[in-house]
Amino acid sequence: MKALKIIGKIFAILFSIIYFLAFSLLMTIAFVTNLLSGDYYASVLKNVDLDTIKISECGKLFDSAAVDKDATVEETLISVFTKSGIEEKTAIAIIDNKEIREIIGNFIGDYVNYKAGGDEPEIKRSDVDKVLTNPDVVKAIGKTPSKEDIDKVYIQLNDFAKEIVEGGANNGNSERNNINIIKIK
Amino acid sequence: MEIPKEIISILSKLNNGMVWIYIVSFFVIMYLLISLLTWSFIKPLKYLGIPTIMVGILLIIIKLVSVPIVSLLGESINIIKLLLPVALKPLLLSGILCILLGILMIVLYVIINKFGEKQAKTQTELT
Repeated sequence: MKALKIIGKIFAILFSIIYFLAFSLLMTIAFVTNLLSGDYYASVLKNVDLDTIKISECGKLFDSAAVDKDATVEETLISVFTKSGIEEKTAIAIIDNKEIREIIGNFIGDYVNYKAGGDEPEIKRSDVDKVLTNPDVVKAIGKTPSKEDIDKVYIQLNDFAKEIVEGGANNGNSERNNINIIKIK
Repeated sequence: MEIPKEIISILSKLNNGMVWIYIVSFFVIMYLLISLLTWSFIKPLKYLGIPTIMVGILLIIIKLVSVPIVSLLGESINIIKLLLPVALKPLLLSGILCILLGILMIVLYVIINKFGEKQAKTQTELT
Protein backbone atom coordinates (compact mmCIF):
# COMPACT_ATOMS: atom_id res chain seq x y z
CA MET A 1 0.00 0.00 0.00
CA LYS A 2 2.86 2.34 0.87
CA ALA A 3 4.61 1.51 -2.40
CA LEU A 4 1.44 2.33 -4.30
CA LYS A 5 1.23 5.68 -2.52
CA ILE A 6 4.83 6.50 -3.47
CA ILE A 7 4.20 5.50 -7.10
CA GLY A 8 1.08 7.68 -7.11
CA LYS A 9 3.08 10.60 -5.74
CA ILE A 10 5.84 10.16 -8.34
CA PHE A 11 3.27 10.08 -11.16
CA ALA A 12 1.47 13.10 -9.71
CA ILE A 13 4.76 15.05 -9.76
CA LEU A 14 5.39 13.82 -13.30
CA PHE A 15 1.93 15.00 -14.36
CA SER A 16 2.46 18.39 -12.78
CA ILE A 17 5.69 18.77 -14.80
CA ILE A 18 3.78 17.81 -17.97
CA TYR A 19 1.06 20.26 -16.93
CA PHE A 20 3.66 23.03 -16.49
CA LEU A 21 5.19 22.43 -19.94
CA ALA A 22 1.86 22.09 -21.76
CA PHE A 23 0.29 25.01 -19.91
CA SER A 24 3.26 27.27 -20.82
CA LEU A 25 2.91 26.19 -24.46
CA LEU A 26 -0.85 26.76 -24.51
CA MET A 27 -0.47 30.20 -22.92
CA THR A 28 2.13 31.12 -25.56
CA ILE A 29 -0.22 29.90 -28.32
CA ALA A 30 -3.05 31.94 -26.78
CA PHE A 31 -0.80 35.01 -26.90
CA VAL A 32 0.34 34.36 -30.48
CA THR A 33 -3.22 33.79 -31.74
CA ASN A 34 -4.00 37.18 -30.22
CA LEU A 35 -1.53 38.63 -32.72
CA LEU A 36 -3.80 37.46 -35.55
CA SER A 37 -6.76 39.56 -34.51
CA GLY A 38 -7.49 43.07 -35.74
CA ASP A 39 -8.63 44.21 -32.29
CA TYR A 40 -5.14 43.54 -30.98
CA TYR A 41 -3.41 45.82 -33.51
CA ALA A 42 -6.11 48.44 -33.00
CA SER A 43 -5.38 48.51 -29.26
CA VAL A 44 -1.61 48.67 -29.90
CA LEU A 45 -1.98 51.55 -32.37
CA LYS A 46 -4.33 53.42 -30.03
CA ASN A 47 -1.63 53.45 -27.34
CA VAL A 48 1.23 54.60 -29.54
CA ASP A 49 2.13 58.22 -30.29
CA LEU A 50 2.55 58.27 -34.09
CA ASP A 51 4.22 61.67 -33.90
CA THR A 52 7.27 60.22 -32.17
CA ILE A 53 7.93 57.39 -34.66
CA LYS A 54 10.02 58.17 -37.72
CA ILE A 55 9.49 56.32 -41.01
CA SER A 56 13.15 55.23 -40.95
CA GLU A 57 12.51 53.57 -37.57
CA CYS A 58 9.70 51.41 -38.92
CA GLY A 59 12.04 48.83 -40.45
CA LYS A 60 10.75 47.42 -43.73
CA LEU A 61 7.14 48.53 -43.24
CA PHE A 62 7.32 51.64 -45.42
CA ASP A 63 10.05 50.41 -47.81
CA SER A 64 7.67 50.06 -50.74
CA ALA A 65 5.87 53.36 -50.21
CA ALA A 66 7.47 56.46 -51.72
CA VAL A 67 7.72 58.53 -48.56
CA ASP A 68 10.29 60.72 -46.83
CA LYS A 69 12.22 58.47 -44.45
CA ASP A 70 13.00 61.35 -42.06
CA ALA A 71 9.35 62.26 -41.53
CA THR A 72 7.25 60.92 -38.70
CA VAL A 73 4.39 58.46 -39.32
CA GLU A 74 1.88 61.16 -38.43
CA GLU A 75 3.39 63.66 -40.87
CA THR A 76 3.40 61.02 -43.60
CA LEU A 77 -0.25 60.12 -43.07
CA ILE A 78 -1.22 63.81 -43.11
CA SER A 79 0.70 64.22 -46.38
CA VAL A 80 -1.13 61.23 -47.85
CA PHE A 81 -4.44 63.00 -47.21
CA THR A 82 -3.38 66.50 -48.29
CA LYS A 83 -1.99 65.04 -51.54
CA SER A 84 -5.48 63.90 -52.45
CA GLY A 85 -6.85 67.42 -52.04
CA ILE A 86 -7.99 67.31 -48.43
CA GLU A 87 -7.34 70.41 -46.32
CA GLU A 88 -4.46 70.13 -43.88
CA LYS A 89 -6.56 70.88 -40.78
CA THR A 90 -9.01 68.15 -41.85
CA ALA A 91 -6.12 65.72 -42.22
CA ILE A 92 -4.72 66.62 -38.79
CA ALA A 93 -8.19 66.17 -37.23
CA ILE A 94 -8.52 62.75 -38.87
CA ILE A 95 -5.12 61.52 -37.67
CA ASP A 96 -5.72 62.83 -34.14
CA ASN A 97 -8.92 60.79 -33.97
CA LYS A 98 -8.52 57.42 -32.23
CA GLU A 99 -11.06 55.73 -34.51
CA ILE A 100 -8.79 56.01 -37.55
CA ARG A 101 -6.13 54.07 -35.65
CA GLU A 102 -8.71 51.40 -34.88
CA ILE A 103 -9.47 51.13 -38.61
CA ILE A 104 -5.78 50.84 -39.53
CA GLY A 105 -5.25 48.32 -36.72
CA ASN A 106 -8.15 46.21 -37.95
CA PHE A 107 -6.71 46.43 -41.47
CA ILE A 108 -3.34 45.06 -40.26
CA GLY A 109 -5.16 42.23 -38.43
CA ASP A 110 -7.17 41.45 -41.57
CA TYR A 111 -3.96 41.47 -43.57
CA VAL A 112 -2.39 38.86 -41.25
CA ASN A 113 -5.54 36.74 -41.68
CA TYR A 114 -5.32 37.26 -45.44
CA LYS A 115 -1.76 35.91 -45.40
CA ALA A 116 -3.14 32.85 -43.59
CA GLY A 117 -5.65 32.27 -46.38
CA GLY A 118 -8.45 34.66 -45.41
CA ASP A 119 -10.22 37.34 -47.46
CA GLU A 120 -8.31 40.25 -48.96
CA PRO A 121 -8.22 43.15 -46.48
CA GLU A 122 -10.07 46.36 -47.25
CA ILE A 123 -10.84 49.51 -45.35
CA LYS A 124 -14.64 49.86 -45.40
CA ARG A 125 -16.31 53.01 -46.74
CA SER A 126 -18.71 52.99 -43.76
CA ASP A 127 -15.75 53.07 -41.32
CA VAL A 128 -14.21 56.11 -43.01
CA ASP A 129 -17.65 57.72 -43.03
CA LYS A 130 -17.91 57.11 -39.28
CA VAL A 131 -14.53 58.75 -38.60
CA LEU A 132 -15.19 61.84 -40.71
CA THR A 133 -18.65 62.43 -39.28
CA ASN A 134 -17.33 61.99 -35.73
CA PRO A 135 -18.28 65.08 -33.62
CA ASP A 136 -14.61 65.66 -32.61
CA VAL A 137 -13.46 65.71 -36.24
CA VAL A 138 -16.40 67.91 -37.32
CA LYS A 139 -15.62 70.31 -34.44
CA ALA A 140 -11.91 70.45 -35.37
CA ILE A 141 -12.64 71.12 -39.04
CA GLY A 142 -15.48 73.53 -38.33
CA LYS A 143 -17.87 71.88 -40.81
CA THR A 144 -19.25 68.48 -41.78
CA PRO A 145 -17.00 66.99 -44.49
CA SER A 146 -18.58 66.70 -47.94
CA LYS A 147 -19.28 63.36 -49.61
CA GLU A 148 -16.43 64.12 -52.02
CA ASP A 149 -13.98 64.60 -49.14
CA ILE A 150 -15.05 61.28 -47.59
CA ASP A 151 -14.57 59.57 -50.96
CA LYS A 152 -11.10 61.08 -51.31
CA VAL A 153 -10.03 59.94 -47.83
CA TYR A 154 -11.48 56.46 -48.46
CA ILE A 155 -9.62 55.97 -51.76
CA GLN A 156 -6.36 57.48 -50.49
CA LEU A 157 -6.39 55.47 -47.24
CA ASN A 158 -7.08 52.19 -49.06
CA ASP A 159 -4.40 52.94 -51.66
CA PHE A 160 -1.78 53.79 -49.06
CA ALA A 161 -2.58 50.82 -46.81
CA LYS A 162 -2.42 48.41 -49.75
CA GLU A 163 0.83 49.93 -50.98
CA ILE A 164 2.40 49.33 -47.58
CA VAL A 165 1.18 45.79 -46.96
CA GLU A 166 1.46 44.46 -50.51
CA GLY A 167 4.87 45.95 -51.17
CA GLY A 168 3.46 48.44 -53.71
CA ALA A 169 1.40 47.04 -56.56
CA ASN A 170 3.04 49.46 -58.97
CA ASN A 171 6.41 49.55 -57.20
CA GLY A 172 6.12 53.14 -56.12
CA ASN A 173 5.21 54.45 -59.58
CA SER A 174 1.86 55.73 -58.42
CA GLU A 175 0.87 59.35 -58.86
CA ARG A 176 1.53 59.74 -55.15
CA ASN A 177 5.21 59.23 -55.79
CA ASN A 178 7.55 61.35 -53.66
CA ILE A 179 5.03 62.75 -51.26
CA ASN A 180 6.07 66.17 -49.95
CA ILE A 181 6.00 65.99 -46.20
CA ILE A 182 4.35 68.94 -44.51
CA LYS A 183 5.99 69.73 -41.20
CA ILE A 184 3.14 70.27 -38.81
CA LYS A 185 5.15 71.14 -35.75
CA MET B 1 12.76 35.56 -40.41
CA GLU B 2 9.32 34.76 -41.81
CA ILE B 3 6.82 32.45 -40.09
CA PRO B 4 5.75 29.59 -42.40
CA LYS B 5 2.23 29.94 -43.82
CA GLU B 6 1.20 26.56 -42.40
CA ILE B 7 1.91 27.70 -38.84
CA ILE B 8 -0.03 30.95 -39.34
CA SER B 9 -2.89 28.90 -40.81
CA ILE B 10 -2.98 26.54 -37.80
CA LEU B 11 -2.81 29.47 -35.38
CA SER B 12 -5.62 31.33 -37.14
CA LYS B 13 -7.75 28.16 -36.91
CA LEU B 14 -7.07 28.09 -33.16
CA ASN B 15 -8.30 31.67 -32.89
CA ASN B 16 -11.73 32.78 -31.67
CA GLY B 17 -11.27 31.59 -28.10
CA MET B 18 -10.60 27.96 -29.07
CA VAL B 19 -7.27 27.98 -27.18
CA TRP B 20 -9.04 28.84 -23.93
CA ILE B 21 -11.34 25.84 -24.37
CA TYR B 22 -8.23 23.64 -24.80
CA ILE B 23 -6.59 25.18 -21.71
CA VAL B 24 -9.66 24.62 -19.51
CA SER B 25 -10.25 21.05 -20.74
CA PHE B 26 -6.54 20.25 -20.31
CA PHE B 27 -6.69 21.55 -16.74
CA VAL B 28 -9.78 19.44 -15.95
CA ILE B 29 -8.18 16.29 -17.41
CA MET B 30 -4.96 16.83 -15.44
CA TYR B 31 -6.93 17.51 -12.26
CA LEU B 32 -8.89 14.27 -12.63
CA LEU B 33 -5.74 12.25 -13.47
CA ILE B 34 -3.83 13.54 -10.43
CA SER B 35 -6.81 13.02 -8.12
CA LEU B 36 -6.99 9.40 -9.36
CA LEU B 37 -3.27 8.91 -8.74
CA THR B 38 -3.31 10.43 -5.26
CA TRP B 39 -6.76 9.13 -4.30
CA SER B 40 -7.69 12.63 -3.18
CA PHE B 41 -9.80 15.35 -4.72
CA ILE B 42 -7.93 18.11 -2.82
CA LYS B 43 -4.29 17.17 -3.47
CA PRO B 44 -4.36 18.18 -7.20
CA LEU B 45 -4.83 21.75 -5.95
CA LYS B 46 -1.27 21.54 -4.57
CA TYR B 47 0.18 19.64 -7.53
CA LEU B 48 -1.35 22.03 -10.10
CA GLY B 49 -1.11 25.23 -8.05
CA ILE B 50 2.69 25.27 -7.96
CA PRO B 51 3.17 24.81 -11.75
CA THR B 52 0.49 27.47 -12.38
CA ILE B 53 2.48 29.96 -10.28
CA MET B 54 5.63 28.94 -12.18
CA VAL B 55 3.90 29.52 -15.55
CA GLY B 56 2.84 32.96 -14.31
CA ILE B 57 6.40 33.80 -13.25
CA LEU B 58 7.69 32.52 -16.62
CA LEU B 59 5.25 34.73 -18.56
CA ILE B 60 6.23 37.80 -16.52
CA ILE B 61 9.94 37.02 -17.03
CA ILE B 62 9.37 36.72 -20.81
CA LYS B 63 7.59 40.08 -20.75
CA LEU B 64 10.28 41.81 -18.72
CA VAL B 65 13.27 40.27 -20.49
CA SER B 66 12.08 40.56 -24.12
CA VAL B 67 12.16 44.38 -24.26
CA PRO B 68 15.86 44.77 -23.29
CA ILE B 69 16.89 41.72 -25.36
CA VAL B 70 15.09 42.93 -28.50
CA SER B 71 16.54 46.41 -27.94
CA LEU B 72 20.01 44.87 -27.87
CA LEU B 73 19.46 42.79 -31.00
CA GLY B 74 17.01 44.88 -33.04
CA GLU B 75 17.97 47.30 -35.79
CA SER B 76 15.02 49.66 -35.53
CA ILE B 77 15.29 50.13 -31.79
CA ASN B 78 12.93 53.06 -31.33
CA ILE B 79 9.86 51.50 -32.92
CA ILE B 80 10.41 48.28 -31.01
CA LYS B 81 10.86 50.19 -27.76
CA LEU B 82 7.58 51.97 -28.42
CA LEU B 83 5.49 49.04 -29.62
CA LEU B 84 6.81 46.11 -27.60
CA PRO B 85 5.62 47.17 -24.12
CA VAL B 86 2.10 47.66 -25.49
CA ALA B 87 2.25 44.48 -27.56
CA LEU B 88 3.43 42.38 -24.61
CA LYS B 89 0.92 43.78 -22.13
CA PRO B 90 -1.41 40.73 -22.43
CA LEU B 91 1.54 38.53 -21.42
CA LEU B 92 2.00 40.44 -18.16
CA LEU B 93 -1.72 40.31 -17.39
CA SER B 94 -1.87 36.56 -18.07
CA GLY B 95 1.21 36.08 -15.87
CA ILE B 96 -0.33 37.96 -12.96
CA LEU B 97 -3.59 36.05 -13.44
CA CYS B 98 -1.74 32.69 -13.38
CA ILE B 99 0.14 33.62 -10.19
CA LEU B 100 -3.08 34.69 -8.46
CA LEU B 101 -4.84 31.51 -9.61
CA GLY B 102 -1.96 29.36 -8.36
CA ILE B 103 -1.88 31.11 -4.98
CA LEU B 104 -5.65 30.72 -4.68
CA MET B 105 -5.36 26.98 -5.39
CA ILE B 106 -2.65 26.50 -2.74
CA VAL B 107 -4.49 28.61 -0.15
CA LEU B 108 -7.65 26.59 -0.86
CA TYR B 109 -5.67 23.36 -0.43
CA VAL B 110 -4.18 24.52 2.91
CA ILE B 111 -7.59 25.65 4.24
CA ILE B 112 -9.39 22.43 3.20
CA ASN B 113 -6.51 20.31 4.51
CA LYS B 114 -6.49 22.07 7.89
CA PHE B 115 -10.27 21.85 8.14
CA GLY B 116 -10.09 18.11 7.39
CA GLU B 117 -7.36 17.58 9.98
CA LYS B 118 -9.38 19.45 12.62
CA GLN B 119 -12.46 17.39 11.90
CA ALA B 120 -10.48 14.15 12.09
CA LYS B 121 -8.99 15.24 15.42
CA THR B 122 -12.37 16.06 16.94
CA GLN B 123 -13.74 12.73 15.70
CA THR B 124 -10.92 10.77 17.33
CA GLU B 125 -11.38 12.74 20.54
CA LEU B 126 -15.10 11.88 20.56
CA THR B 127 -14.44 8.21 20.01
